[in-house]
Amino acid sequence: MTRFILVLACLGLAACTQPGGQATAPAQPSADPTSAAYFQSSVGDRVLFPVNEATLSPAARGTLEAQARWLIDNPSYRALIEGHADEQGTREYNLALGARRAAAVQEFLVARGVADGRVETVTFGKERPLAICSDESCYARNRRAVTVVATGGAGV
Amino acid sequence: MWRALITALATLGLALPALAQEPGQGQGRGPLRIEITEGVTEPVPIAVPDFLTEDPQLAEFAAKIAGVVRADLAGSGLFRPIPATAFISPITSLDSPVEYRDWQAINAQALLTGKVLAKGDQLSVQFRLFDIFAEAPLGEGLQFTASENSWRRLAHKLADAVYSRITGEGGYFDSRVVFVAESGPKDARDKRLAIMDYDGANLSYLTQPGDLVLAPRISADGARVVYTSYATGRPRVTLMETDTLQTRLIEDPSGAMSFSPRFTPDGKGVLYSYASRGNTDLYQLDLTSGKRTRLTQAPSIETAPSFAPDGSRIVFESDRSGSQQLYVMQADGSDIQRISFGPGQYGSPVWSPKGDLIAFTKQHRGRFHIGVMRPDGSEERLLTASFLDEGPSWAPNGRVLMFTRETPGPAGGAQLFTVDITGRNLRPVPVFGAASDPAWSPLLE
Amino acid sequence: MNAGLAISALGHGAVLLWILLDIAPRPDDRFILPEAVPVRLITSDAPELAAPSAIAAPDAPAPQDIPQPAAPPGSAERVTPLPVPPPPDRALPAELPQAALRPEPSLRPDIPPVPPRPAEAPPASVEQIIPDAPPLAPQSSPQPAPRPQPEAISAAPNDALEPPSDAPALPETVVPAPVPQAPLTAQERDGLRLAVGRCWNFGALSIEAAQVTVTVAMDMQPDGRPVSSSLRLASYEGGSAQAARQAFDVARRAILRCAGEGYPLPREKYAQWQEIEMVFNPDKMRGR
Repeated sequence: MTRFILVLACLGLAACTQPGGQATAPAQPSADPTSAAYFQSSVGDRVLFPVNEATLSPAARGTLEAQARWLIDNPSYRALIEGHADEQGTREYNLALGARRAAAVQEFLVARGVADGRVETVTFGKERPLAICSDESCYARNRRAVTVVATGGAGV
Repeated sequence: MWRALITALATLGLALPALAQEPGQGQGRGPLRIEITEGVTEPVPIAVPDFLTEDPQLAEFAAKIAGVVRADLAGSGLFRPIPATAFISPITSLDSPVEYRDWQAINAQALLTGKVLAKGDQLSVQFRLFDIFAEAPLGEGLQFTASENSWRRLAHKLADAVYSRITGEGGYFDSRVVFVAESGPKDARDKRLAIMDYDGANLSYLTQPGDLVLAPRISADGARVVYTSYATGRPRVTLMETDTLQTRLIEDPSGAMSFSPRFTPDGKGVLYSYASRGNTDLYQLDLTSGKRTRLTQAPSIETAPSFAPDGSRIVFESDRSGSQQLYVMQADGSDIQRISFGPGQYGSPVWSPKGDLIAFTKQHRGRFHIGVMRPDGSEERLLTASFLDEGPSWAPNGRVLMFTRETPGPAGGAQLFTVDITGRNLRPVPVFGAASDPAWSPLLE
Repeated sequence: MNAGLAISALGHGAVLLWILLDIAPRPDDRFILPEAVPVRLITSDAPELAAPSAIAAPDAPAPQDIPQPAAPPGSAERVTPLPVPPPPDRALPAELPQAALRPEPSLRPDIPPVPPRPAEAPPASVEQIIPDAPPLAPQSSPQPAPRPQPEAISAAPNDALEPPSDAPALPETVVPAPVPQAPLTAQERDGLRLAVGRCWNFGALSIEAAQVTVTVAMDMQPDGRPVSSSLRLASYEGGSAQAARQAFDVARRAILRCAGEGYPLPREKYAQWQEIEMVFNPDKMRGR
């Protein structure tokens, strides 16, 4: 019996540390579906990209569909999309690449009905890495666009 | 009778070939011609005895100035100062005759003698340079004067004079570098703008910690710096006056992002990248009139521009072909030509102050390189290789490059390095702390 | 008839004998005579004229002809205007105002940003100092006074130095003649080539100068050492005059440095190497 519980516990932990970047931020799953924390953890606030690309994978589209729905359901929120790149590139090109990724997300959301004026973008290039182990497992997590939602005049 | 005739003819016949050889001609072939095709590449051994001074209060300056001169020359990789313990005849006066044999005996090829004296409340350095094997002075003696605080500049100017007399290249020691000083872990980096002498001395900060700052450039007169700052929350091109540290933003529609700024060669404008709706293009702003001109119009990324020193053309980085490559266009944005064609991706191009080369960052198979090529893209040569080398900047003489080298992993950090364009003499710049994004100034006045 | 034959034989023999004795060393027929090259006549007095393609007087950094030493420079420092225009003596700007720190409401009192003082430091002024170099005569290496064949030269017709003539120089008669002089062997030439190449240093050449081919002409002493004052730039190609001057300086240094006690050249063939033209061709050293 103890063994069974242990195995379940291990599986449960494994689920929590699942790679894929869907819920890597250490946010408490919140019960309130209209909160930013809920957006972050349950809806999914980030999508990942292939090297040097700003194309949206099917998984990314799925996440963004959910984001769009949430934003439409919660009209008091604004969104700021941060575009990021991994460290395998020159500094200024990566700024431009981050801008392109953020814009790709913005376009998708707007096309799904989110009002254009509610969504803004910013690039951080390779300046704000999440994972710093300097190999592909970390690079993949850094090639991301993160949607930050806030009420009122946030995300300037 | 016939016999006589035949004998005579025969005699003539025998004699002719001998006569044809003019007497004594066999050896006079003219100068011996020899072709030398193999040489060596070694630093020039130069003797720099401690500088003299008649004023004991200046003794410390004399020693320090000579020390900086030796460090400059040795650091260039082209000279090898000979240790003083090897010297045979001491230098006691700047004007006494040189015992060339003594210096030849220790294989010195050049001798630099110097003297420090006070001139009013200022410091003065005199020097003479001698070609030991030609047994003659190399150029005139010279004297430099400046305030005591600028004693390092005196040393750098002197070293520049020695360097250019012996190599024929312009010097580069009397120059400064503006860069980004870094601290903190890789995922929480703190960056500040800073400026220092090219050799790491006289470091001072230009911005507060806390605001992300990137990739500065310094104007030709050294009075202004332009860079990318996140002080407003998004990347914006920012102009700073170095003597007052006053800053202002480059005008742009709100919500816009701008980065990668460069001064025009005349300093009256700023060339930069502007990102809107995910598309990044090159724009130029006239600082006096405020007029903005769009230079590229393409759905691809255009960034990291660099002017040719005469201002007629611009080299930049674009991924319009599907991967990052280098392009050259006229200064008005016309006639765009691709110049990079090797395998891999090319970026951050910078045009040499001599106009003859373009340095760049190249990425291929997981490695980064600093390289140079001719402005038409030919004669590409890679000078370095590592996990991450990027962002080269030219020394004022167009012969040395400074760049950022970053090491991998969580403990990794950024450091500045210099390398000669022959690929030789790769060495770190002795900066206090981590550093990136160097921009080398022209020679100071 | 026999008498005629005898006389004929005697006559032929006499002619043959005359030929053999009068014309001294006859080169070995197996060697091919080199093509004619201009023969420069050397005098012991007249200075060598610069070759037509010599560099025009360069500006500042070039070594200038030092006039014969005047009185040793006194302790008084003389500032003399020279052909080289130094930057004008600048008045020092007033001390820079202490820079204001960036007015920021929320200051983190770290190391505050300060204006880079040295960057605006007053520019150093440049003046010339005493132009008279220390007297050279006492310690300069004694020029080999006796040129190879002074006596012979005076007899030779040598009003002009330059015009190549086909007439051989008489000097050969003074050279130890009887030994047959073969041309230098490939091994001897290589020995000289390597000996000079060891000192031919690219290390401190500008990129441009490292691509110039220079031809240096020189006279040699019988012991294998070059006459250092005879080293001259005969011609150059592949760069500017300035770059050629640098390349020439480096080549000259190489020749003088590696001379040591004399290059390994056979004394008995001295006549062949008493004048040498060395071509310093860096093409193979590119990209090094």
